[in-house]
Amino acid sequence: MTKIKASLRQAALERRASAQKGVSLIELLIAMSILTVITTMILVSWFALQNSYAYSVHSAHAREAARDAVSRMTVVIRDAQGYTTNETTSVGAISVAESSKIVFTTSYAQTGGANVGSTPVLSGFIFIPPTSSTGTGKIYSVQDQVGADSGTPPADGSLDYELYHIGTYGRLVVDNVVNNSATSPPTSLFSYTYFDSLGTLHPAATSLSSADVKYIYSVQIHCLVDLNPGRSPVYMDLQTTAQPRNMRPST
Amino acid sequence: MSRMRGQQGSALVLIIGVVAALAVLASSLVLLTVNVAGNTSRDRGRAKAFNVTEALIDHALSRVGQKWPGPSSADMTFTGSEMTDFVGRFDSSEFATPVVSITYFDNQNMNGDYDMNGDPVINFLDAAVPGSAKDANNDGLICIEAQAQVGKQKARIQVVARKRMLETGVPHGIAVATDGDIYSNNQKTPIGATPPNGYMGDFTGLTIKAGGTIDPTSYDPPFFPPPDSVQPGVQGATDSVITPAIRQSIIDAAKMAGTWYSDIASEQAAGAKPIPDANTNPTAFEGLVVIETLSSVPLNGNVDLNGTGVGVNKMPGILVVIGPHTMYPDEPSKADVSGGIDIGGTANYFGLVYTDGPITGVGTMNIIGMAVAKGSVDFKGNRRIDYNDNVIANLKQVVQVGAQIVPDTWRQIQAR
Repeated sequence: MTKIKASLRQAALERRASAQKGVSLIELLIAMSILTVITTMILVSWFALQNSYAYSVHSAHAREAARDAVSRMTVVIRDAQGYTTNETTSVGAISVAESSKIVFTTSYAQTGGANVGSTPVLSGFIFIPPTSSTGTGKIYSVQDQVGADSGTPPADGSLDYELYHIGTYGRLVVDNVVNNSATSPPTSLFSYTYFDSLGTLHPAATSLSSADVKYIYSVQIHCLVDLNPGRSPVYMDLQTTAQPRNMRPST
Repeated sequence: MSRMRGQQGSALVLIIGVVAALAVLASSLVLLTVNVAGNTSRDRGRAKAFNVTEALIDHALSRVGQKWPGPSSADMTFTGSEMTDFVGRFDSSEFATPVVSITYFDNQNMNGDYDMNGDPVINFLDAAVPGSAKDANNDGLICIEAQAQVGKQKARIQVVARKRMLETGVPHGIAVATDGDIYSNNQKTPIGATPPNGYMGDFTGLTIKAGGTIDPTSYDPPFFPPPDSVQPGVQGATDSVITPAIRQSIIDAAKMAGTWYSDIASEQAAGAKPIPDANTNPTAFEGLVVIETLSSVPLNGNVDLNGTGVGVNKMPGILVVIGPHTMYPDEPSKADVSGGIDIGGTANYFGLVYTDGPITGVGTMNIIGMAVAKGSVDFKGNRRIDYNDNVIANLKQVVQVGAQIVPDTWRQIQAR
């Protein structure tokens, strides 16, 4: 009887041993390799997507800033306003009209600007292209500063001092502007439509003489902004036209 | 238990990864779309608000251009019905309930505000003073501020407006021009320039032009020295003094200003007022007056018609009496001219008188200025025409044809 029981126990142990299965080393290595590849793919994808999202957020802000800047330039240039200093001297609405710079007088957003007859202030927009010192290309707005140069603005009729010290007196309008940079097509920030003394229409002039600036009819603004600075450039191309209301022939 | 034990693979991990990737991509896309849509919406809102504001300025210019609010006018207001009519011109799907306002105020310091330098401040706050919403100082200037809000965006524009006047181009030195004859009956030389009402300006001699004959007794010889002063047989004499185009502009201006009068029923239905009586309502004859009639218009009151205070600074009037033919020169069916002007009484008229009919005169009424008639001119009695050069010099101040923005006064200012 005892032998029978022992024989049965032995048989059961043998059955249990034969039923056990496991992962071999090769199988384990293969599985780990596959998981490593999959994990790597997921992580790479994740980081790529994270970068993509960060770019989207950054570019959205850049787009908004660029559009606001162009809108601001349009409104202020549209408001360009000449004035008379005395019976014989009058200051034109626009005094400098170049491809990267425009200088004009305006009362827009000035203290007392809503008072009839208040004197407008000499102002301007200038594009500083990228250099090793300034970094990215920038558009600044500048206003004649009282006491900044020898005259008393706006009677001095010049922004030379302020433009020379743009870092001090300029207010950044928009950054990462790439007009005329090495990687973008040559593009004038400002171009002008005017009638010359013979009545001939010049639709896209980029540099006007002091005699011609008073006949400007409209100012075209063409702004190229890099939405992905420091990497492969992604251009945002903004164009609009500002028609200075005080330079309309009918007024 | 055996089914769960049999499950193997990485599908779940892959799906989670793909879903996560798609979620990030979708978020980026939504962010970009919302950003661009928001920017575009804001830009469009700005543009709409600005455009509506400019339309408001044009509307205000049109109003003051039709009838200038002089010192004696009521204050200008942007009435509720006017506002409703204005807003109704904009498509509600694009311009959802724009909020608009126009403020008129004179270009003088009405409320006594001064800045830190002690200089007077002129701005919209002056509009709160009664009597300021018009050209109170009578310098031909008035300030206009307009504001519009479309959605969340607002714009406000300020301009100074001035009257735009018609340059009539009437030549100086011509006392009378007619396409007919000039008669007189009794050696009393009714045409001259006797001071104090007569004034020759820089001229040493005056001119009379007639398409027909000129009675030698109709003019005072010292004012018409030979050889060229008296010009009979001039073709188109009246049109050379007042061109048809200028005449039509004068008519249009009178229609616009509400000083177009007629006794023709169809014209009254079209907006003409009944012809005023010169004797009982002489103020109706001040400034520019156009009367359309088939009859003659009697000026026989014993009160001055635009004649009180004749002098250098007196603003002349223009009195036009015409028939439908002259009123509508391009309509062949309208062939009748007026019966002209019949002057009498003891009054004065200071200005230019024009008619497509005759001018006949009895009594002692005096036209101080110039007379132009397509028909004959027949005067009886004493002086009837005293040429006054100030009338011709100031004609450019009489006919308003609109209003315009004074150069360098257009401003976009902070909206409120």
